[in-house]
Amino acid sequence: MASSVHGPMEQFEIKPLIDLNLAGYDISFTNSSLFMTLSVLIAFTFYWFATRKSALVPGRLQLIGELIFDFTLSMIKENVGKEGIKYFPFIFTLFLFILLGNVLGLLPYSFTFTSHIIVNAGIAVFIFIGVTIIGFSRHGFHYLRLFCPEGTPIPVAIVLVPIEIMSYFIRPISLSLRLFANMLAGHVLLKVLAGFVISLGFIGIIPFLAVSAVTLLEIMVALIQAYVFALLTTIYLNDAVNMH
Amino acid sequence: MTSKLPNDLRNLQDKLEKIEIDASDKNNSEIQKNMGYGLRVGIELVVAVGMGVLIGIFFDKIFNTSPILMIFFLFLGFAAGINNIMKQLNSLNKDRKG
Repeated sequence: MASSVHGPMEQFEIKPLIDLNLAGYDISFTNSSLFMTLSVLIAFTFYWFATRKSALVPGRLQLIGELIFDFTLSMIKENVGKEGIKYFPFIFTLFLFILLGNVLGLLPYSFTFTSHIIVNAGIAVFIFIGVTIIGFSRHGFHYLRLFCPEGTPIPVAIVLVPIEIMSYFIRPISLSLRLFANMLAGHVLLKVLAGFVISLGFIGIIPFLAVSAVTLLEIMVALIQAYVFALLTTIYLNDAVNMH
Repeated sequence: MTSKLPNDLRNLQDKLEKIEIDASDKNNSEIQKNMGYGLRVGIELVVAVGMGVLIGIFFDKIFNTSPILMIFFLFLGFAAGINNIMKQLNSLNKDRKG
Protein backbone atom coordinates (compact mmCIF):
# COMPACT_ATOMS: atom_id res chain seq x y z
CA MET A 1 0.00 0.00 0.00
CA ALA A 2 2.81 2.33 0.91
CA SER A 3 4.25 2.00 -2.56
CA SER A 4 1.05 3.22 -4.22
CA VAL A 5 0.81 6.37 -2.06
CA HIS A 6 3.03 9.21 -3.17
CA GLY A 7 4.91 11.11 -0.52
CA PRO A 8 4.26 14.84 -0.30
CA MET A 9 7.85 15.66 -1.22
CA GLU A 10 7.95 13.45 -4.31
CA GLN A 11 6.55 16.20 -6.52
CA PHE A 12 9.72 18.25 -6.02
CA GLU A 13 12.07 15.56 -7.29
CA ILE A 14 14.20 16.57 -10.24
CA LYS A 15 14.29 13.93 -12.94
CA PRO A 16 16.64 14.21 -15.90
CA LEU A 17 14.76 13.84 -19.17
CA ILE A 18 17.73 14.09 -21.54
CA ASP A 19 21.16 13.27 -20.13
CA LEU A 20 23.76 15.81 -21.11
CA ASN A 21 27.35 16.20 -19.97
CA LEU A 22 29.66 19.12 -20.58
CA ALA A 23 33.28 18.94 -19.42
CA GLY A 24 32.38 16.76 -16.45
CA TYR A 25 29.39 18.88 -15.39
CA ASP A 26 25.92 17.41 -15.40
CA ILE A 27 23.81 19.77 -17.51
CA SER A 28 20.95 17.33 -18.18
CA PHE A 29 17.67 18.66 -19.46
CA THR A 30 15.45 18.01 -16.42
CA ASN A 31 11.76 18.42 -15.71
CA SER A 32 12.71 21.71 -14.05
CA SER A 33 14.35 22.97 -17.23
CA LEU A 34 11.37 21.72 -19.22
CA PHE A 35 8.98 23.88 -17.24
CA MET A 36 11.31 26.88 -17.39
CA THR A 37 11.41 26.49 -21.16
CA LEU A 38 7.63 26.08 -21.19
CA SER A 39 7.08 29.26 -19.20
CA VAL A 40 9.32 31.23 -21.54
CA LEU A 41 7.60 29.74 -24.59
CA ILE A 42 4.12 30.44 -23.22
CA ALA A 43 5.02 34.03 -22.41
CA PHE A 44 6.54 34.43 -25.87
CA THR A 45 3.66 32.89 -27.82
CA PHE A 46 1.09 34.72 -25.72
CA TYR A 47 2.65 38.08 -26.48
CA TRP A 48 3.19 37.11 -30.07
CA PHE A 49 -0.53 36.44 -30.50
CA ALA A 50 -1.53 39.38 -28.30
CA THR A 51 0.44 41.93 -30.29
CA ARG A 52 -0.01 40.37 -33.73
CA LYS A 53 -3.04 42.45 -34.62
CA SER A 54 -2.47 45.51 -32.50
CA ALA A 55 -5.63 47.58 -32.77
CA LEU A 56 -6.59 50.87 -31.22
CA VAL A 57 -9.54 49.11 -29.60
CA PRO A 58 -7.84 46.00 -28.21
CA GLY A 59 -9.21 42.50 -28.55
CA ARG A 60 -9.31 40.08 -25.62
CA LEU A 61 -5.74 38.82 -25.87
CA GLN A 62 -4.34 42.26 -26.53
CA LEU A 63 -6.25 43.61 -23.53
CA ILE A 64 -4.79 40.99 -21.17
CA GLY A 65 -1.34 41.60 -22.56
CA GLU A 66 -1.66 45.35 -22.19
CA LEU A 67 -3.04 45.00 -18.64
CA ILE A 68 0.02 43.07 -17.48
CA PHE A 69 2.25 45.48 -19.38
CA ASP A 70 0.63 48.57 -17.81
CA PHE A 71 0.61 46.98 -14.37
CA THR A 72 4.36 46.43 -14.44
CA LEU A 73 5.04 49.82 -15.96
CA SER A 74 3.04 51.69 -13.30
CA MET A 75 4.75 49.63 -10.58
CA ILE A 76 8.14 50.81 -11.83
CA LYS A 77 6.98 54.41 -12.29
CA GLU A 78 5.58 54.52 -8.75
CA ASN A 79 8.61 53.02 -7.07
CA VAL A 80 11.57 54.17 -9.13
CA GLY A 81 10.26 57.06 -11.19
CA LYS A 82 10.99 57.94 -14.81
CA GLU A 83 14.63 56.85 -14.46
CA GLY A 84 13.51 53.28 -13.87
CA ILE A 85 11.72 52.82 -17.18
CA LYS A 86 14.90 51.66 -18.93
CA TYR A 87 14.93 48.66 -16.57
CA PHE A 88 11.36 47.81 -17.57
CA PRO A 89 12.25 44.89 -19.90
CA PHE A 90 14.11 43.13 -17.11
CA ILE A 91 11.39 43.58 -14.47
CA PHE A 92 8.69 42.60 -16.94
CA THR A 93 10.52 39.43 -17.99
CA LEU A 94 11.18 38.56 -14.37
CA PHE A 95 7.56 39.06 -13.43
CA LEU A 96 6.23 36.96 -16.31
CA PHE A 97 8.78 34.17 -15.73
CA ILE A 98 8.01 33.80 -12.03
CA LEU A 99 4.28 34.27 -12.54
CA LEU A 100 4.13 31.52 -15.16
CA GLY A 101 6.40 29.30 -13.06
CA ASN A 102 4.06 29.61 -10.10
CA VAL A 103 0.86 29.20 -12.09
CA LEU A 104 2.10 26.32 -14.25
CA GLY A 105 3.10 24.52 -11.07
CA LEU A 106 -0.52 24.47 -9.96
CA LEU A 107 -1.55 22.27 -12.88
CA PRO A 108 -1.74 18.54 -12.12
CA TYR A 109 1.36 16.50 -13.07
CA SER A 110 3.39 19.65 -13.51
CA PHE A 111 6.54 20.78 -11.80
CA THR A 112 7.02 24.04 -9.89
CA PHE A 113 10.53 25.31 -10.56
CA THR A 114 10.08 28.21 -8.11
CA SER A 115 9.75 25.65 -5.30
CA HIS A 116 13.50 25.01 -5.59
CA ILE A 117 15.49 27.54 -3.65
CA ILE A 118 18.45 27.34 -6.00
CA VAL A 119 16.35 28.77 -8.85
CA ASN A 120 15.11 31.67 -6.73
CA ALA A 121 18.53 32.22 -5.20
CA GLY A 122 20.06 32.37 -8.67
CA ILE A 123 17.60 35.07 -9.74
CA ALA A 124 17.89 36.95 -6.43
CA VAL A 125 21.71 36.98 -6.43
CA PHE A 126 21.65 38.14 -10.04
CA ILE A 127 19.35 41.02 -9.04
CA PHE A 128 21.52 41.80 -6.00
CA ILE A 129 24.73 41.99 -8.02
CA GLY A 130 23.04 43.89 -10.83
CA VAL A 131 21.54 46.46 -8.46
CA THR A 132 24.90 46.94 -6.74
CA ILE A 133 26.62 47.48 -10.09
CA ILE A 134 23.94 49.98 -11.16
CA GLY A 135 24.35 51.82 -7.85
CA PHE A 136 28.13 52.08 -8.12
CA SER A 137 28.09 53.05 -11.79
CA ARG A 138 25.54 55.82 -11.18
CA HIS A 139 26.90 57.23 -7.94
CA GLY A 140 30.49 56.00 -7.75
CA PHE A 141 31.80 55.59 -4.22
CA HIS A 142 29.08 57.94 -3.09
CA TYR A 143 26.86 54.83 -3.25
CA LEU A 144 28.42 53.72 0.06
CA ARG A 145 26.51 56.64 1.60
CA LEU A 146 23.55 54.24 1.47
CA PHE A 147 25.00 52.61 4.59
CA CYS A 148 25.66 55.88 6.38
CA PRO A 149 23.41 58.82 5.42
CA GLU A 150 24.99 62.25 5.44
CA GLY A 151 24.99 64.08 8.77
CA THR A 152 24.88 60.96 10.93
CA PRO A 153 26.63 61.57 14.27
CA ILE A 154 29.55 59.19 14.84
CA PRO A 155 28.08 57.41 17.91
CA VAL A 156 24.93 56.66 15.90
CA ALA A 157 26.95 55.64 12.85
CA ILE A 158 28.80 52.99 14.87
CA VAL A 159 25.47 51.25 15.49
CA LEU A 160 23.79 52.17 12.23
CA VAL A 161 26.41 51.14 9.70
CA PRO A 162 26.59 47.43 10.66
CA ILE A 163 22.79 47.26 10.72
CA GLU A 164 22.50 48.86 7.28
CA ILE A 165 25.21 46.62 5.82
CA MET A 166 23.56 43.55 7.32
CA SER A 167 20.12 44.47 5.98
CA TYR A 168 21.62 45.11 2.54
CA PHE A 169 23.17 41.64 2.39
CA ILE A 170 20.09 39.90 3.75
CA ARG A 171 17.99 41.14 0.82
CA PRO A 172 18.76 38.37 -1.71
CA ILE A 173 18.28 35.70 0.95
CA SER A 174 14.89 36.93 2.09
CA LEU A 175 13.85 37.58 -1.50
CA SER A 176 14.55 34.00 -2.58
CA LEU A 177 13.46 32.33 0.65
CA ARG A 178 10.05 33.99 0.64
CA LEU A 179 9.09 32.69 -2.80
CA PHE A 180 10.57 29.27 -2.05
CA ALA A 181 8.79 28.90 1.30
CA ASN A 182 5.43 29.99 -0.06
CA MET A 183 5.56 27.65 -3.03
CA LEU A 184 6.90 24.67 -1.07
CA ALA A 185 4.44 25.03 1.80
CA GLY A 186 1.46 25.43 -0.49
CA HIS A 187 2.25 22.40 -2.61
CA VAL A 188 3.02 20.17 0.38
CA LEU A 189 -0.24 21.25 2.03
CA LEU A 190 -2.21 20.45 -1.13
CA LYS A 191 -0.59 17.04 -1.43
CA VAL A 192 -1.16 16.10 2.21
CA LEU A 193 -4.80 17.19 2.12
CA ALA A 194 -5.35 15.35 -1.15
CA GLY A 195 -3.94 12.21 0.46
CA PHE A 196 -6.62 12.41 3.16
CA VAL A 197 -9.39 12.53 0.56
CA ILE A 198 -8.66 8.97 -0.57
CA SER A 199 -7.81 7.42 2.78
CA LEU A 200 -10.83 8.78 4.69
CA GLY A 201 -13.41 7.31 2.30
CA PHE A 202 -16.80 8.96 2.65
CA ILE A 203 -15.65 11.53 5.24
CA GLY A 204 -13.08 12.50 2.64
CA ILE A 205 -15.55 15.13 1.43
CA ILE A 206 -14.25 17.42 4.20
CA PRO A 207 -10.60 17.40 3.09
CA PHE A 208 -11.86 17.55 -0.50
CA LEU A 209 -13.57 20.86 0.24
CA ALA A 210 -10.43 22.00 2.01
CA VAL A 211 -8.37 21.10 -1.06
CA SER A 212 -10.68 23.19 -3.24
CA ALA A 213 -10.35 26.15 -0.89
CA VAL A 214 -6.57 25.79 -0.61
CA THR A 215 -6.28 25.58 -4.41
CA LEU A 216 -7.98 28.96 -4.70
CA LEU A 217 -5.68 30.31 -2.01
CA GLU A 218 -2.68 28.88 -3.87
CA ILE A 219 -3.69 30.63 -7.10
CA MET A 220 -3.80 33.89 -5.15
CA VAL A 221 -0.45 33.16 -3.47
CA ALA A 222 1.11 32.35 -6.86
CA LEU A 223 0.01 35.73 -8.24
CA ILE A 224 0.91 37.69 -5.11
CA GLN A 225 4.35 36.14 -4.76
CA ALA A 226 5.25 36.94 -8.37
CA TYR A 227 4.03 40.49 -7.78
CA VAL A 228 5.97 40.76 -4.50
CA PHE A 229 9.16 39.48 -6.13
CA ALA A 230 8.93 42.07 -8.91
CA LEU A 231 7.89 44.81 -6.47
CA LEU A 232 10.84 44.18 -4.16
CA THR A 233 13.17 44.23 -7.16
CA THR A 234 11.86 47.68 -8.06
CA ILE A 235 12.29 48.83 -4.44
CA TYR A 236 15.93 47.66 -4.46
CA LEU A 237 16.39 49.28 -7.84
CA ASN A 238 15.01 52.51 -6.40
CA ASP A 239 17.76 52.51 -3.75
CA ALA A 240 20.40 52.11 -6.43
CA VAL A 241 18.96 54.62 -8.90
CA ASN A 242 17.73 57.40 -6.60
CA MET A 243 19.47 56.75 -3.25
CA HIS A 244 16.37 58.05 -1.37
CA MET B 1 -44.46 58.06 -22.26
CA THR B 2 -45.47 55.51 -19.67
CA SER B 3 -42.70 53.15 -20.75
CA LYS B 4 -40.03 55.80 -20.34
CA LEU B 5 -40.07 55.96 -16.59
CA PRO B 6 -39.42 52.26 -15.93
CA ASN B 7 -36.74 52.34 -18.60
CA ASP B 8 -35.01 55.23 -16.85
CA LEU B 9 -35.29 53.43 -13.55
CA ARG B 10 -33.83 50.30 -15.08
CA ASN B 11 -30.93 52.32 -16.47
CA LEU B 12 -30.37 53.81 -13.06
CA GLN B 13 -30.45 50.37 -11.49
CA ASP B 14 -27.90 49.09 -14.02
CA LYS B 15 -25.69 52.05 -13.27
CA LEU B 16 -25.94 51.49 -9.53
CA GLU B 17 -25.12 47.80 -9.91
CA LYS B 18 -22.10 48.65 -12.00
CA ILE B 19 -20.86 51.11 -9.40
CA GLU B 20 -21.42 48.54 -6.67
CA ILE B 21 -19.41 45.91 -8.53
CA ASP B 22 -16.64 48.42 -9.12
CA ALA B 23 -16.58 49.32 -5.43
CA SER B 24 -16.40 45.69 -4.30
CA ASP B 25 -13.63 45.08 -6.83
CA LYS B 26 -11.64 47.94 -5.39
CA ASN B 27 -12.15 46.62 -1.88
CA ASN B 28 -11.04 43.17 -2.98
CA SER B 29 -7.86 44.39 -4.60
CA GLU B 30 -7.15 46.46 -1.49
CA ILE B 31 -7.39 43.32 0.64
CA GLN B 32 -5.09 41.45 -1.73
CA LYS B 33 -2.60 44.29 -1.71
CA ASN B 34 -2.55 44.35 2.09
CA MET B 35 -2.20 40.59 2.16
CA GLY B 36 0.79 40.93 -0.12
CA TYR B 37 2.37 43.36 2.32
CA GLY B 38 1.64 41.02 5.22
CA LEU B 39 3.19 38.02 3.49
CA ARG B 40 6.19 40.11 2.53
CA VAL B 41 6.95 41.41 6.01
CA GLY B 42 6.51 38.10 7.86
CA ILE B 43 9.46 36.22 6.44
CA GLU B 44 11.75 39.26 6.44
CA LEU B 45 12.24 39.21 10.21
CA VAL B 46 12.70 35.42 10.40
CA VAL B 47 15.37 35.44 7.69
CA ALA B 48 17.21 38.39 9.21
CA VAL B 49 17.40 36.87 12.71
CA GLY B 50 18.28 33.43 11.32
CA MET B 51 21.05 34.82 9.14
CA GLY B 52 22.36 36.85 12.09
CA VAL B 53 22.62 33.71 14.20
CA LEU B 54 24.31 31.76 11.38
CA ILE B 55 26.87 34.51 10.73
CA GLY B 56 27.49 34.77 14.47
CA ILE B 57 28.11 31.03 14.83
CA PHE B 58 30.42 31.12 11.80
CA PHE B 59 32.55 33.94 13.27
CA ASP B 60 32.46 32.27 16.70
CA LYS B 61 34.07 29.19 15.19
CA ILE B 62 36.78 31.26 13.50
CA PHE B 63 37.67 33.43 16.51
CA ASN B 64 36.78 30.84 19.19
CA THR B 65 34.58 33.29 21.08
CA SER B 66 31.42 31.23 21.45
CA PRO B 67 28.76 32.48 22.19
CA ILE B 68 29.50 36.21 22.32
CA LEU B 69 29.46 36.93 18.58
CA MET B 70 26.40 34.74 18.10
CA ILE B 71 24.45 36.88 20.56
CA PHE B 72 25.84 40.07 19.03
CA PHE B 73 24.85 39.09 15.49
CA LEU B 74 21.45 37.88 16.66
CA PHE B 75 20.62 41.37 17.82
CA LEU B 76 22.23 42.87 14.73
CA GLY B 77 20.11 40.60 12.55
CA PHE B 78 17.00 41.58 14.45
CA ALA B 79 17.79 45.26 13.96
CA ALA B 80 18.53 44.67 10.27
CA GLY B 81 15.21 42.87 9.84
CA ILE B 82 13.29 45.71 11.47
CA ASN B 83 15.24 48.15 9.30
CA ASN B 84 14.22 46.29 6.12
CA ILE B 85 10.58 46.15 7.23
CA MET B 86 10.57 49.87 8.02
CA LYS B 87 11.94 50.66 4.55
CA GLN B 88 9.30 48.51 2.87
CA LEU B 89 6.49 50.03 4.91
CA ASN B 90 7.73 53.50 4.01
CA SER B 91 7.26 52.63 0.35
CA LEU B 92 3.75 51.43 1.27
CA ASN B 93 2.95 54.84 2.76
CA LYS B 94 4.25 56.48 -0.40
CA ASP B 95 1.84 54.30 -2.41
CA ARG B 96 -1.09 55.35 -0.24
CA LYS B 97 -0.39 59.05 -0.52
CA GLY B 98 0.46 59.05 -4.22
